[in-house]
Amino acid sequence: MQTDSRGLFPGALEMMVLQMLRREPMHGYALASRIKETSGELLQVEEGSLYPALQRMLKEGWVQAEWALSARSRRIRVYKITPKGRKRLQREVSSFERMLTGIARVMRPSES
Amino acid sequence: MSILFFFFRRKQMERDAAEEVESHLQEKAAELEESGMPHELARQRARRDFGNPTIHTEDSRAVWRWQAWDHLRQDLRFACRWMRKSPGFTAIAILSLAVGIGANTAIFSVVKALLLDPLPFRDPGRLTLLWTEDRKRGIHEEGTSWLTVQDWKQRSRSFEDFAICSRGNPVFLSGLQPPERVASEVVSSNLFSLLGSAPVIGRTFTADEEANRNRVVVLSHALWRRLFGGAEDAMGKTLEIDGIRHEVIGVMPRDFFFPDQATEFWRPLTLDPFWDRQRIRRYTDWWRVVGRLKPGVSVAQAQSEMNRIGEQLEREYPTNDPGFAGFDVNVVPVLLQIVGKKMPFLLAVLLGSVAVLLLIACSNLGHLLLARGAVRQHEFAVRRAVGAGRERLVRQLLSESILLAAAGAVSGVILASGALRFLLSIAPAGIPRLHEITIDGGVLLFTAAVSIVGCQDK
Repeated sequence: MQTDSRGLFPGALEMMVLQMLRREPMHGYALASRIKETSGELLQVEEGSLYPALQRMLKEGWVQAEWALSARSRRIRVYKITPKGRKRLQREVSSFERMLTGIARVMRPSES
Repeated sequence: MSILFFFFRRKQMERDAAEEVESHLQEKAAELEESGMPHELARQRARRDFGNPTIHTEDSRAVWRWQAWDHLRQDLRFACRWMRKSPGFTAIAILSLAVGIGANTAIFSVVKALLLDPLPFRDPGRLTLLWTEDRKRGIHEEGTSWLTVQDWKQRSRSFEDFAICSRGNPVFLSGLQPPERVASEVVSSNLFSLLGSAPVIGRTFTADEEANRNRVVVLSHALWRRLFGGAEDAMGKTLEIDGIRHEVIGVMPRDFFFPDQATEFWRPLTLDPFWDRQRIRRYTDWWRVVGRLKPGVSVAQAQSEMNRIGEQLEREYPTNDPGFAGFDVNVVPVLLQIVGKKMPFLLAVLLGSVAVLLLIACSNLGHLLLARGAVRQHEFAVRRAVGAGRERLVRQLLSESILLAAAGAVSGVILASGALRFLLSIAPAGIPRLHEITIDGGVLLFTAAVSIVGCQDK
């Protein structure tokens, strides 16, 4: 559940996943490790909580899933972003940026 | 989406989810091993980082709203087990519900077929039969003379029109081998339009044909099927009645009947064998009369007007003929004529009693459930202690009563169909519309709904 992805605001996990998938289709494990890697281990996301989020996005039609073989020839489910997902990401990112700016101004009033 | 597809898809998605989690864990463990971690430790670490797979799987499932379905299935399974564990209680509960639902459904099906389903006539509420009331002999349904009906037509303001009809006209279909005796009627040409019934094939006879005593005949749907196999080209064919050839000119609809279902065909009034005599006699009781009330005129108003007309005629045509029934009139609504004057009252009494029976059954069951609830307090306390929410407990109890109600309803239907068959078998012959009685789906649904709601209230 979203509340279990400790420290993340609602929808943050989805936004990050969509952002990752915008560059290339990926499977669940790759997504989890990439998020951890790029955040420099700053974000402590329970890997398992990725899957309910992926199901939610599947249901909303933001991503599509297909079975494929991994480099270690293991069956993996690869997720791909859909046009609907791209649109969603744009909206999320812009509102996220507005929020960040707002928070930043509050936290550092001297700069504004 | 079909249920099957739903189940198929659901199973597939759960398999996918499980495989996906497994592949995630393996991949992670393999990666850790490659970086030099021992096998066991790598697997443990993969699991720890993943978190609780059960919770995550349940969360995934909840996304597709399967949880409600899962809970329902659990509840029903639990309710079944609970019912099996106390067979005595279950049997009594189901039986009392079944009796209540069954009796109500059976009786209400009868009421609906006899009283509530519309007659096959246009605006049947305005149709009445008019009889001569024989005060001297206490006979309420005597016939009337043709001349008197003509006087009614002239003087009455309450009726749109009157149609005249014989009081039974049994004849031989002499063309058949062997000849067959059937019930038929001779009727005035305006009868069909007065009832508001049109033939399905061909036409009915005209006033001219009636005046000219043309030998034409309108068949019932059943006779048409029997003699002509339902062929459209039966029109114009001949039917030999009492040795005389008649032309078939029309067929009435399947649900049409007049005056009862046994009547097989209708011919012009003037073909009555005694027409010439009956046409001129005043003091006779030969004809049956149907009247259509004008819109907005009540039966009581019509009755009081006919009483006045009767008094006038009595003054104008005095007689001391001892066999004559008099000029008093008895106006009877057609529905009451068909089902019998006492029938609505009797059925209302029966319906009332079975309704009370259902109430008693519901309250019995309510008390039984209440008593069981007291016994089960311990069980509920335990369930609450291990984390069942209030809503979850209520849902479980609801599923139990709904399961009981469903079982009661099913047994009720079986009981109702048996009761109905029994009722039909003991019914005396000649009750009109009886063959139209079947278990009514709407009635059944209603009764079942009432009993479920009734039990929930407790």
